[in-house]
Amino acid sequence: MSLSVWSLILLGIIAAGIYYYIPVKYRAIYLTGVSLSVYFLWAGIYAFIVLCTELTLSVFFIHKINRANCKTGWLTAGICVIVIFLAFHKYKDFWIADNNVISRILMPLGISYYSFKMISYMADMYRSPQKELVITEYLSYVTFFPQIICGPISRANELNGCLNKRTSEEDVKRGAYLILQGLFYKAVIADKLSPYTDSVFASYDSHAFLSLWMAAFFYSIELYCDFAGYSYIVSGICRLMGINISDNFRLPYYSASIREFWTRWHISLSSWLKDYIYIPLGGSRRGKIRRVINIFAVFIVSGLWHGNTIVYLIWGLWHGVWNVLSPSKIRRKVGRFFGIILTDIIVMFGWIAFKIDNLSGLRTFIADMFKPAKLSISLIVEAVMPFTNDYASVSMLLAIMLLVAVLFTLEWRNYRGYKENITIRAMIYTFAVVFFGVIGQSGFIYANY
Amino acid sequence: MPIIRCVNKNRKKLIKAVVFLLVIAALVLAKDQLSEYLMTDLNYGMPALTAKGSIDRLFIGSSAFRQGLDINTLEESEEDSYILTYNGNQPCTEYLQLKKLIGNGVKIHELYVDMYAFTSSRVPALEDKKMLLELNTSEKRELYDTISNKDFMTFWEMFVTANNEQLLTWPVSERIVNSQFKNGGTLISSAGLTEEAYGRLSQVYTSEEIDENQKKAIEDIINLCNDNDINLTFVEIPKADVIMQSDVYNDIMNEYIELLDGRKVKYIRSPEGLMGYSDFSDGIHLSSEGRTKYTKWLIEKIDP
Repeated sequence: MSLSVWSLILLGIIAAGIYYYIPVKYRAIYLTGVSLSVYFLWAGIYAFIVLCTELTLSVFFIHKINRANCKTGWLTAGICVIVIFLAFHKYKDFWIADNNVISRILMPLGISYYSFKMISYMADMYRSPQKELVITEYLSYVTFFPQIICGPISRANELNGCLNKRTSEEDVKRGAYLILQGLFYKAVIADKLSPYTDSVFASYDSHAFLSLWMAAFFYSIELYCDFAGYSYIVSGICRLMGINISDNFRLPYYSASIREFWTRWHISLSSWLKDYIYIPLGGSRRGKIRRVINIFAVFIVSGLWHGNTIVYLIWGLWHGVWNVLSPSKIRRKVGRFFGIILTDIIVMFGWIAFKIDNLSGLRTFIADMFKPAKLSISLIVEAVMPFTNDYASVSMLLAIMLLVAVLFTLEWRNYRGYKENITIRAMIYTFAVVFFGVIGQSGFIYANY
Repeated sequence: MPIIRCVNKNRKKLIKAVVFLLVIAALVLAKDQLSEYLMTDLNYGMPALTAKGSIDRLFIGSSAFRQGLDINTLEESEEDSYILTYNGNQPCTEYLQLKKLIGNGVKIHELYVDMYAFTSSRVPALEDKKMLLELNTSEKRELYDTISNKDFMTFWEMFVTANNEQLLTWPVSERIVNSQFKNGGTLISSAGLTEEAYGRLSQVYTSEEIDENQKKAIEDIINLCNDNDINLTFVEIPKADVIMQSDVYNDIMNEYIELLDGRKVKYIRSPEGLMGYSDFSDGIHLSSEGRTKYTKWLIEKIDP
C-alpha cells in the first residue's frame, strides 16, 4: 500500500469507524495493532524492525526510569540509545562510503517523529515519578498511525487522555471539516504547486531571476500547505476517534516576527524543543548571553533534526539570528503589516535551503535571484511555462493565484477573529477539492525529515 | 433503528448535502457544453473549425505538426488551411477528432495527417488534456474506451478536473493564449539550436513497431476519408538526423509506409538535406526559421 493523502484518509475513516465500537479497555491495543500493520505496509520490513527494536529498548528504559534508583543515568542512557538510532540513519552518509551496502539503507519512515515522542515520554516519566508505565498506552502513543509519518509530535496525555472518550456528533462534524480543510491545503494548493517548484528547483541554474523568485515564493506556500494540510487531516482523523489534538499550525504567515513565527509554525516541534531543550538548558532565566546561547542551541538542533547537510544547519542559524535580533523593536519600527511581509521574506529565504539541499546550489540560487535582467515578455513566458510546459501554463498560474488568494482570505478572516461559517467553508473546500484537487499518489514533504 | 433516528434528526442537513452534491454533478455535466460553446470563437481547436463549416486543407497531428507548419506560409497559397494539433496526438485520437468534425458537418477537401513514428508506436493514451475541453460527455466516454489506461484517476481527471483552470480563468487566460494562434497555427517564435546543442541530441525511443490499436486507427482514418471523399495524404515532419537515422525510427516508418502502400494512400516523406541544425528547436520540433523553410517546401510538393 503506497502512502498518499487519499490512502491516509481512507484508512483513517475505516479505522475510526471500527474504533467507535471497540471497548475502551481494548482501544490502545487496537490502535497499536492497526498502526503497526499500517507502518509495516507503508515503510517496509527494515523500518518495521527498527521501530520494533526501538520500542522494545525504550520500554526497557522507561521501566528502569520508573523503578530503578539511578533515574538520571537510565534517562541519559535511554535518550542516548534513541539518538544513536536517529543519528545513524540520518547522518550515515557522513561516515559510510557510497558503495557500502549500509549506505543503501533508507531512513525509516517517521523515525524523526517517533524518536522525539519516545524521548519526551522518557523525560515525562522521569519528571513524574508517580506515573506508571502502561505499555499498551505507550505503544499506541508512539506508533499512532496518523502521526507516525510526519507528526504532529503530540504529547502522550493528549492521546491517552482521550482513549476512554466516546465520539460525539460534534467530533464527527469537526473531524470531517478538518479533513476537508486539509485536503484543500494539500490536494488543491500544495499538489498543484509542486510540478512548478520541482521543475524550477531541478534546473535552477538555467532559470532567470523572475522564475527563481516565483519558485521561492510558491515553494513557501507549497511547503506550508503540504504540511499544514497533512496536520489538519491528522487532526480530523483523530477527531473522528474523539481524540482532540492541539493545532500544529496557527496562521504562521501572519507572524510579524520570527519569534512569533515559531509560535505558529510546526507548533508541536517548537514546543517540544522548548520543553525538552530550551527550558532544561535554563531558558531565559540565566541572563541574556545564556538565553542567546540557548536559542541557538534550539535552532541548531532543529536544523540537524530536519536534515543532514550543512544547509540545514545554516537554516537553523538563520532563524536563530532573526529570533535573537530583538524582533519586537523591529516590529514597532516598521509596523505590524510590514513586520509580516518582512518575516515572510526571511522565512522564504530559509525554505530555499530546504529545497536546494546543498551549499553551492543555495549560493547560486540566491545570487541568481538578484542578478539583474531586463523584464521582457520572453522572461515572463519562461517564468510561467514550468507549470505545464505548454500554453495551459497561463491559466494554471492564474487559477493557482486565485486559489491561494482564497486560502489567505479565509486565513485572514481567522486572523482578524471573524466567526467561521463552517457550512460555507465546507462548501468552498468541497467545491475546490472536487474541481481542482489533484487525485493521485503524492507523498508528504515533511515525511522526508 | 438508530440510523433512521439519525436520518430523521438531520433531515434538513441531509437534504442540503444532497442538493450540494447534485449541483456539483450538474456543474460537471454543464462544463462540457460550456467549454464547447466558449471555444467556438477561438483561433484554434475543433469547435472553431466546426463553426467555419468547411476547409480546403486540414492538417491534423501532434506538436511536431504545430511547430513544423507555418500558417502564414500555408495561407500564401489560395487554399484555406487549418492546423489542428494536440501534444502527442496519436492516430487513435486523430481518428476520433476527424470523426467528430465530419459528424458535426465539417466539409474537408484535403486532409494531411502527421506521419509520426513515435506517437503511432505508443499504446492508446490521452497525451494532451486540452483535447477534453472540446469534447462532449459521450465523446469523452468514447475516448475513455479507446485509451488503455483505465484507472479511477484517469476517469476522474477526464470527466471532472481536466481543464477547470482554463474555464475558471477563461476571460483572461484565453485572451492571452488565443492571440498566439491563427487558424490553429502557432504564432509563437521558437529559437533554433546551436551546432553544439544539435550535436548533443540523442535518440531515446525504444519501441520498434506500430501499436496494433494505432494501426487500426490509421486504417479507420483511411476508410473515413474514402467514405467522405476526402483527399488524404500522410506527412512526415523533419526530425533531427540522430532520430531519423536511427534503426528504431526507420523500422517504424518502414512499417508505416508498407501500410500506406497497401492501401494506396499518398504520403510525403521529409526532405533530405534541406534542414540545418538551426532549423530545429529540439530533436523533434522545428524552430520558427525551420518551420517557414519546411512549409514552403511542403507547399511546393502539394501544389507543384
